[in-house]
Amino acid sequence: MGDEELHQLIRGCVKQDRKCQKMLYKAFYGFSMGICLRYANNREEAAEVMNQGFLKVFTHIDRFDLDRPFKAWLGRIMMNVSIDYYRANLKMAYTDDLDKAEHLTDGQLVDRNLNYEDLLRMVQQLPQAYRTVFNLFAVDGYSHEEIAEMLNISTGTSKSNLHKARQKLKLMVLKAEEAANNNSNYNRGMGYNPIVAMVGNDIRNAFYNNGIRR
Amino acid sequence: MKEGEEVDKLFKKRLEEPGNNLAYNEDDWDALEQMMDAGKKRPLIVYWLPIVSGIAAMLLLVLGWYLFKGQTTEVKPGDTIVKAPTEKKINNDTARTDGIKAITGDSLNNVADNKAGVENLQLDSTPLHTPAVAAGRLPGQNNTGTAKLKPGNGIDIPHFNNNVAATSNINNVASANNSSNVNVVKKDTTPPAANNVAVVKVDTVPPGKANMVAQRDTTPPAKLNTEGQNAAQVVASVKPKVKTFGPNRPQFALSVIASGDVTGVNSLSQGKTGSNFGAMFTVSVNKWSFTTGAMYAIKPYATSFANYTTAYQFKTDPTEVTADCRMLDIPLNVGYRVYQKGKNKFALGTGLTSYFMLHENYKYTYSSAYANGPTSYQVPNPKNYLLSTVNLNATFEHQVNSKFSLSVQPYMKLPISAVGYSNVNLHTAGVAVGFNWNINSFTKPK
Repeated sequence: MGDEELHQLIRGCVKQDRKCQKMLYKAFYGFSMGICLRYANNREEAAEVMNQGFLKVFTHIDRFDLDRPFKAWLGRIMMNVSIDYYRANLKMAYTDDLDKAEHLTDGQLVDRNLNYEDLLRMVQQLPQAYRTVFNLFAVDGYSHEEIAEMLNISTGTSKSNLHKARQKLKLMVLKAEEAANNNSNYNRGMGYNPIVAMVGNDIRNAFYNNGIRR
Repeated sequence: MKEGEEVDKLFKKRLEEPGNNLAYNEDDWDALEQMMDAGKKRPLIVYWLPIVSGIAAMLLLVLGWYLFKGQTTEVKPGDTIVKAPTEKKINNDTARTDGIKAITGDSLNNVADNKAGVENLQLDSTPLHTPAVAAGRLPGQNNTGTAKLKPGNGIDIPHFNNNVAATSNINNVASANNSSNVNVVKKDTTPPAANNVAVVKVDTVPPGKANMVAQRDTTPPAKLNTEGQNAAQVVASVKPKVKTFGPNRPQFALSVIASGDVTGVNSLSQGKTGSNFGAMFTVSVNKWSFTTGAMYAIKPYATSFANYTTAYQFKTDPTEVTADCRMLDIPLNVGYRVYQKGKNKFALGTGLTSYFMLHENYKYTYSSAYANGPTSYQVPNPKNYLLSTVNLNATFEHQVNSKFSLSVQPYMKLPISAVGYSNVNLHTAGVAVGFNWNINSFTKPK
């Protein structure tokens, strides 16, 4: 969508034109939903939060400065609405047992064959406080100081929550990998291990190293 | 690379590229539209909602009353009317004849031999017309008066009933002199053993209006007053219905409902008021809603013995039966939302109800105090009547907040099949008030 087209839509929205509102909604639906889904527990809640965000957008769109990037403004609103929606849960204390993850260090996680849905599901499984800090820090790029201010928590809590979120996510990634391996073996109908077919480097990288058995 | 950054990198990379996973969903837009509309204040509608609901309820009741009221027959001067045979047995031809004579004579004091019942009739001082006809032709030439039977003096003047039947042709119901005043007097059904005149049917048609033939029952004074009261019969039934907010996914709602209604046999013309209370569960998908639940219904009603079906042979037929029924009303309703603005919704619904009879008791009223017969009957094993009734309803709902709403629902219940030990066709109309809990709307964080 070109700038001029976008500005026309925005001007229509300022006039509360329902058609323009719907076009803008459709145009930025995926973008907004992508943000809300990361902060929400599930898709239904994400849709609800997103709609609250759009409600704010349409209510206050007359305040938007056309010289500034709309997407950034919209994204910020979606993020704020998501944080507000779950704000009551952000200070909740968790007693999750993370001992299992303590010995884990970063391995070759980046190349895992996990798709968007897999990773989104893992993030959504995180407790609210961990998920919010992880999203803000790792994906949206905020510092711990900024996060502390946004969430009204201490920087120490922010760091702690980020650490725990990472540990939990690592566990989930590894678990998913194991499940994928088991599945592929099972599907072949025999005890054939596909890793045998890999070259030595791959074996080290993909199994020994990533299996965290060293 | 610092510890944890690999995780960050992995998730940032993939989560920023959702691809086609976030396809546009029209339902979400619908939900947003509702939110936007809800934000607009519409105080007028809010303030008028109870009034509008009340008017709708009254309309339903009145419509129901007229639609299911017993039929009346109009007789115009010069018309020939052939009446269908009465459902009741005419046991006392003599009495009928006497009655006719009495009314067609100069005085009504002689109305039948049944003095007990007729003596209490008050006659107008106006000139007496004698157009009365029961079984035969109406003379109607020189009639110059109007005989009126007044209620309140021991004469029950219930509305027309389906028994308006005489086995006769009526010609020239009124003469030229009579203009349009036509009185038809009938007499019927007198319990053999009774001293009383059982029924004298008298119809009075106001001058200037279309002539009508109707029937009036006359029974002994003591009984008549009772019958007059019974003219207003009661009944009850219940209906539920609930609605939820938000169209983008199935919405579930629980409702607590209480209602008051009127139930009558064959029509609502003789109704008694009953009450109902219970709980309902509703699933809403877009504009459709599906409701079921259970209502405890207290349905008293009264009916003439003619509507009462039983294998039991009464020595003396009762004149009236009063029933006290307690039942579970299990409805299966579907509703369609036809209007929604802001926090207010209006839906129309229909469905079927099953009655599970819990308690069924009948009391019999005899025309004579000396009648020899049972006074009441408690049905030992009340039955169930599956999908025996059609529900029609209109629901106004006002959303209090995202979780709770209030609803007002005028409704009618029309019989598909007869219910109860006595096999009666119960008609019900009433208004239900509900408090609804929208279970999954606006789910809060876990």
